Order: sequence, then C-alpha cells, then structure tokens
Amino acid sequence: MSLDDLEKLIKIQEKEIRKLKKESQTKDEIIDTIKKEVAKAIYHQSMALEHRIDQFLFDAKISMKDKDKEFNKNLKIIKNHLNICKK
Amino acid sequence: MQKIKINQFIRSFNDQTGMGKTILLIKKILLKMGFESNIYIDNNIEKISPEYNIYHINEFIENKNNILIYHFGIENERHNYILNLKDKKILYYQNITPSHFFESKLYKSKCDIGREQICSSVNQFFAAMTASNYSAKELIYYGYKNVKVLPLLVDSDIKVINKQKSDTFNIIFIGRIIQNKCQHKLIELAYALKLKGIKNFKIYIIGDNCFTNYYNYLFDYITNLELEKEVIITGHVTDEELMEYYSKANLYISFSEHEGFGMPLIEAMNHNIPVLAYDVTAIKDTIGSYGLFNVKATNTVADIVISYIKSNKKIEKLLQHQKKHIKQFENQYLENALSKYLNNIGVLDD
Repeated sequence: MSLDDLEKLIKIQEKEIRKLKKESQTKDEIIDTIKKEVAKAIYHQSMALEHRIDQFLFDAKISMKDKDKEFNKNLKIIKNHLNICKK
Repeated sequence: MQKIKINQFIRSFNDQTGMGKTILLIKKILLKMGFESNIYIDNNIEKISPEYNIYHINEFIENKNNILIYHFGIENERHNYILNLKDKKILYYQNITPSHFFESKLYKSKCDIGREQICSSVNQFFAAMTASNYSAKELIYYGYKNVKVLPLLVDSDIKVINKQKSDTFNIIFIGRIIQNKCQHKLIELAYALKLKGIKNFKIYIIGDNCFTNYYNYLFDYITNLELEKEVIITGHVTDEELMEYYSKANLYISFSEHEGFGMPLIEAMNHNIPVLAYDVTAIKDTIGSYGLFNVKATNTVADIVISYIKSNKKIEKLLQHQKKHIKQFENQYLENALSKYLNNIGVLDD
C-alpha cells in the first residue's frame, strides 16, 4: 500500500471513529433519559401503591373501631343479662 | 465491706453510635453514684481513643459479687464466654433489627443468630433494661424478669448549639445508611416538594454507608430525579460537622421503618429542632405523641412538611410539646430512675 493510500485509509477511519463516538454519545443520552423516566415512573408508582396501603390501613382502623364498638355493646348486653340472672 | 463494681460489656464500641453514647452515659451516672465502673469490649480495642479508658474483655477479672451490664444489639461471637463469667448479669437490650429488612446473607444471619441468643439466655440475667416500651415488650415476651425501660441514651448535659441563619429551609436525617432507615423516602420527599412548587430547601442525609448497593442506589435515584441541588448525602461526619448540621437544621424527618429507640431524634429535640417521624416501632416512645405521621405516601407527607415550612407558629407549637416530652430524658431524671431500679432489684442492698 502506498503512503497516499495509507493516509486516505487513516482519514476514512478517523471519520468512522467520529461517527461512532457521536452515535455512542447519543446512545448515552438516550440511556440517561430512560433512566430519568424510569426513576420518575418508580416514584409515581410507589406513590400510587403507598396511597392504596394508607387507604387500606385507614379503612381497616375504622372497621376495627366499629367492630370494637359492636363488641363492647354486646358485652354490655351480656353483662346486664348476667346481672339479671344473678338477681 | 467492699463496694461492688458495676462494669459494662459491649462487643464493639463506637462513640458516635447510640450504643456507644449509652455506655458512656451509664458509666458517668454509675461513677456519680459512687460505684467503680469500667467498660470492656471485644473488637478493635486499638482503634479506641485512650480518653475513654476502655479495656479488652480478656482483661476482665470476674467476681461473683460484681454486676456486669451486658449490652446486646446483634450476634455476639463471645456470647457464651460472657454468660459464663461469674458476675451477676443485667441485660441492656438495644434491640435487633428484624432480618427481613436486609438482603445481605451475612447481616441477615447476624440478626437472626442475635435474636436466638437473646431468646435462649433468659435465665442467665437477673434483670434487664432497655430504652423503649417497644423493646421491653419484646423482652417480656421472651420471658425476661425485672424488665425496666430506662432510656439512658443522650447526655442532656451536652451544650445546646446556637442556631445559625440559613438561606434555605434545611431538613436533616441522621442514621446509618441502611434499608430499614428508608433514606430513599427522603429523596422522594424532595421530589414531591419540588413537584408541589417548593424551591428553597435542602435535605441532608447524614450517616455512614452501611450497605454499598443501597448507598449507590440513593445517589442514582438523586441523579435520575435531578435532585443534586436539593438532596445531599454527606457520608461519615465528625462530631463538629454534625453540630454544624444541627445548627442549620429547620426540621428533622424520619421515615425509618424500624427503631429500637431513635437517639438522633432526641438529640435533635435537645437542639431545638422540630422532629417529624413515621409512627412505627419505638418512635412514639422516643418523640411522644406530637410530630408523628401515620401515612406511607411521601407526597402526603410532603403536604405535612409544607404546612411546617409555611407556618412558624406550627413549628413553635411542635417544639413546645417536644420540649416537655424530652424532660424525661434529662440526666437527673435518669440518675434517679437508675438508682431506684438498682435498689428495686437488690443491687444497692449488697
């Protein structure tokens, strides 16, 4: 291969390297954008789940309180009956 | 008659951890009460500053008339060795984090074996102390006798810092960076605050890296949510640096999912920093009934935080309640409580 041919080849390869670098930079940028979008999605998904957990726990607490009330009411009735029986 | 000695043992000592501070405070109180008292450890004695006067357990001279306070918080390889010493033993239970919080097999097994050790040693202790009702319930469940809640944790004689003015509203959290402390929720809080239009704030996540994968994940989460300006992970800080953070803090927030007590919360309250915390395990024992939140969703917590950012009155009210609550952690109160307890379990009669 002549010196001229070698210089031409080097120029072609340098051009190719620049092109690849640009492509890889674009890919890094795309990956960064995806990472950011995934992080945001994780945040919003986690909020949605946690709201459901909070709502579930809140409902469970209310339901427990209602059941407690009902239990105490029944207990009072039984105690009254027992007192009547004792008399 | 020679006065009995009340010594303490802990596997390893670090003056920056809750356990380390507890031991130093107990020693200070015992010396004040007129007892002879030394601290013994098993690991890394060469790294301990001589000012603390700490000895290796191999130098311990056993004596059946003396008392040994055994601090326990994780598996101890020398557990049986300690139990076989002739001294009468009091357990100080620092609580063990449930292993399901961790993925590391090593840490999981350390927590599980620790719990086995504590469960199977009930008859080796004639009394037990712990920092919170939450931990006391656990000990009573295992069958421990003479269980007393004594939050001997923060030396209230330590000087309260002067507040420094800051251009930003500064939120802090202090604790080892580990999954159960939920530092990722602080990042989510920052994102929620930003989405809700709050601009001039910073969140400082202060503490040592305990799990590198989680630590790295936090940095990635910050970068990916573009919160580099708002959230700062400090890593290890010195005592002076910690005081600097306390002096600039406007609010302390904890999302931790498990606390045997929560010493930094008491420290923060001592330094007049309002504390908000997720109501779980021993948090209520630590901060009282004010400043608790029961929701997991960080964007709901963000609304609570915003109400404090916007209202000095609300902050003042919270501080007032918390000031009242921390009176029970003052040294004088703790000295009396410890003295009464030692009397009740027969130590002072000897």
